[in-house]
Amino acid sequence: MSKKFSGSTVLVIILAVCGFLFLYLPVVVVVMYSFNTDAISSFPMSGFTLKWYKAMFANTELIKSLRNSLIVAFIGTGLAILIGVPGAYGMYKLKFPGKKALEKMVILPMMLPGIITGITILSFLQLVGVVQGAFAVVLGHTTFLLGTVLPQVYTRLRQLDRNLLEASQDLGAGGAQTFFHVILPNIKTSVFGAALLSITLSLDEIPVTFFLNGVFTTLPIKIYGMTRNGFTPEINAICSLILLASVAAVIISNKLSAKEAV
Amino acid sequence: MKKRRWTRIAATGMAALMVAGALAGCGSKKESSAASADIDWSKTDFCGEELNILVWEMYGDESIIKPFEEKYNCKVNATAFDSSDDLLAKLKAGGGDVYDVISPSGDMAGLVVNNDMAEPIDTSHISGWTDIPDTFKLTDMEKDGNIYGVPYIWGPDYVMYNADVVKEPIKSWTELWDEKYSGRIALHNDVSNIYMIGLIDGITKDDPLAIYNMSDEQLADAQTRLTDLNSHVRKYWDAAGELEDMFKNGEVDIAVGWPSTLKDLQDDGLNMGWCIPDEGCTGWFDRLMIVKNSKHYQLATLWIDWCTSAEGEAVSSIATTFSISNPKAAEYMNEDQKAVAMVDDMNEMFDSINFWQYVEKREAYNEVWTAVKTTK
Amino acid sequence: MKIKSKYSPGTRKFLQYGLILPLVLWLFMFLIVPYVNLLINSFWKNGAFKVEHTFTLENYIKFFTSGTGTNRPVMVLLDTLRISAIVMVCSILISFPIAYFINFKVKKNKQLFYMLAIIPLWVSYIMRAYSWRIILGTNGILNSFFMWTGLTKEPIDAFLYSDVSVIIAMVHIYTPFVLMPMYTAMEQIPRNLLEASKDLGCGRIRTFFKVLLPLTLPGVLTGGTYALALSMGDFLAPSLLGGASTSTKIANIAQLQFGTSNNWPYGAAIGVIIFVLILLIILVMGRLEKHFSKLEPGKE
Repeated sequence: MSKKFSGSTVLVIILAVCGFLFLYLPVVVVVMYSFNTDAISSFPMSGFTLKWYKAMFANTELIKSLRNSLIVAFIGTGLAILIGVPGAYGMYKLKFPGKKALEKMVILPMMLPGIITGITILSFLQLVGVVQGAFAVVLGHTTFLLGTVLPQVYTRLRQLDRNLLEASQDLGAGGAQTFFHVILPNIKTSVFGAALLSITLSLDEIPVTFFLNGVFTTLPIKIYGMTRNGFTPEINAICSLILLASVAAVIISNKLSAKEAV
Repeated sequence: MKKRRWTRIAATGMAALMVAGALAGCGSKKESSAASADIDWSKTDFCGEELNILVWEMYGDESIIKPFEEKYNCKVNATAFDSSDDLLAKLKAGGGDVYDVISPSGDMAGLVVNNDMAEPIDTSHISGWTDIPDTFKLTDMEKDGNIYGVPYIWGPDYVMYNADVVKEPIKSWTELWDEKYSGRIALHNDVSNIYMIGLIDGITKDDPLAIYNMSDEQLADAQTRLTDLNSHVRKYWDAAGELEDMFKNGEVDIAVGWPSTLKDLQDDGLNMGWCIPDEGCTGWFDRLMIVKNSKHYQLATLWIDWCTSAEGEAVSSIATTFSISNPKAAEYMNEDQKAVAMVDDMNEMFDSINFWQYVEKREAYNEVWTAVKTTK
Repeated sequence: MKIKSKYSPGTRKFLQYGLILPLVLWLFMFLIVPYVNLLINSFWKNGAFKVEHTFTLENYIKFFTSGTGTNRPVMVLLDTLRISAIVMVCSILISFPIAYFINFKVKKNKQLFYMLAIIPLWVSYIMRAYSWRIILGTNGILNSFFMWTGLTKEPIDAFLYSDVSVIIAMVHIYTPFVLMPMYTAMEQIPRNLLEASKDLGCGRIRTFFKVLLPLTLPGVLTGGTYALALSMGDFLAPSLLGGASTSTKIANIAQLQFGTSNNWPYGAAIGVIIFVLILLIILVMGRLEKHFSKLEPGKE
């Protein structure tokens, strides 16, 4: 079908390349300015240095905030998966009053402005006596992460062949057995994808965290503070390293899945 | 299976904590609230107790925190706020459960005291208290005979400009409306712009505090005139870092800002000038206060004692470029540092500044300010 | 690990409901209760220093009646909606060719290309927004490029600190959110359907409009909903990149109420209004999605 490049193919390629350029332009700028000699980023760059990487590793507060963010991201995602996957499966299997409403409701935490979600959860936590901090941040993150995990897994489940489920049950498999041996293998990529997206979103979350963190500083909150006062390209450096790690992870997983396919 | 792993992780974590506790060599940490009568003020080892301060970004500088941590064997966690909005939101959200010390400016200090969000301070434990001039001890820190705040550092909201472009210091605030600055101005994203209109109109002649209590007509008038200025303003900056960024990138030539920004830009090689227009300017006097129901009352008091001591003031002034409230601090500063903080002209500077006060109609001021920013 | 069906049907039902119980409880505790609390708060009166628990509609009245012209809160809301709509359309326009390209033009390593489009999400939101200052600034990359090519003589300062920069930054931030569902929707289009359409003599263009587009639309709508809703609630991009009269959007006004304005009931009312608006958006988009998925050819 694509022996020769037709006009429309060329157009699609050009538009897609422009799209990628747009997506990557700011990313490239962030990485480039991690090597800039000047503390304040202005164009053109003033020189090349690695000092910000060195400074970044020595900046214990910054490293600590990254660690805090990773903790929140993994616990939040874990909770969202533990609650979201069975929840999606239950919604898929069962008919119950209010199911339609529930379907709509699960995407709300993701769609609603983080600042409002943050403030409402804060007010609620104050009522029940939970103090700002790591615990409150995890609660807040899990809530909006549910909004990413659940719809993705639910959509995938609905695409499954109903016959699969029935066949499994006809063969006398119990509910748990059906889930672990028939359903889970079929939805594992979407669970994995949802988890990956959750971690990504949690690692870069500001509005919800803003009202819940107290003195527990996550990386985006730390970066936010630093960009407002005391900006240094250490931020660019840490962002570049995170980017590098994510690119490496993508390439490795791609290699692995290619191997699997063979 | 999953559950078992979690229990194991929790158990490991607990064991680690216990080991850490044992290594520290301290017994169980006792929290000291204001209520406990028997505070041992001679104590200097706090066994790693943590003090949480909620302060303007620069007030949590390493150079200020380190000596204190070493002296009292404690840990100071500084959380930065970057506007009075931010401070109030954080304080209301966390309160004494989360924070121990705050550094509100004059516009918030009165509100904090009146809202019963601060603990009284026992000034007998603030060694610098007697050295601080009485004129600095603004009365909004007092309620029912109690003192709620100790003057810390202060500075002006003055005019700074790129001297390569702006040749003459401006004489009057009204020059900002001049076409030649169109699109080249940066103002603070703050209600203090409304005070500026009051200064221009000279309503401070009879009552210096009139700009914090403007009538509805005056506010409406200010709204119109500030809206006119909108088209000349490139951006209302939210944080000092932003303003620095804008000068550095050549986005603006003239701005209202703080001395710290000026110094940073000069250090970066920019030819910067500053001035206070003839109408005078407003400024801020930041106080240190203890948050109501702070869990570390004693350490909080000691922190304020350190920050307002001669040496603490000097260290703070050097870290921030701002002016001192304890004159004895000058002994710990070299000539350059004194010049930057204008120590020798302190009284003159102090008199030319109209210090921010608690604005009773703050919401109305905010609404005027929001209206200015949303009128197209 | 062999589990026989050892439970009675009743117990099984009960166990199955156990699956959704944690979810329902969690949503109840951290979504419904907090928002009901917000709703209640929006009807209280803001007194001096503290909230008075007397019922009032004044917060809502204030929202719809205070101010004049564009500075009325309700006009700010509409302005925010306008910006968000532009962001949505732009994100869709940028995502579509990318999704199409990866799905139909890339033969090997599709997954890799897909991930490449998502990776920018890993760079801090704040830093991506900041980069636009360097790119769009008066002396920035774009202006330098334009002047170097001779396209313009003077730098254009309207790129930065204006609605333009706010929109560009938001489009950049929300494009991956639009791309993801769009890509998934395209991925699921049976390839033989497209072939069949061509075999039946439908041209490339007709196939595109009659088969591909309708089948992708649900994904486009889901993604569009994300872009619209998320940019409505974004208070950071406007405050970082907006100019004098373009930096205050509805979320910024809401935020102010929890700060020095110290008017939580009014802030709550604004929150409720945004909530209702987003709920409406979700419902309308859901309707449209259903409408279009009914049109799906080849299904049943």
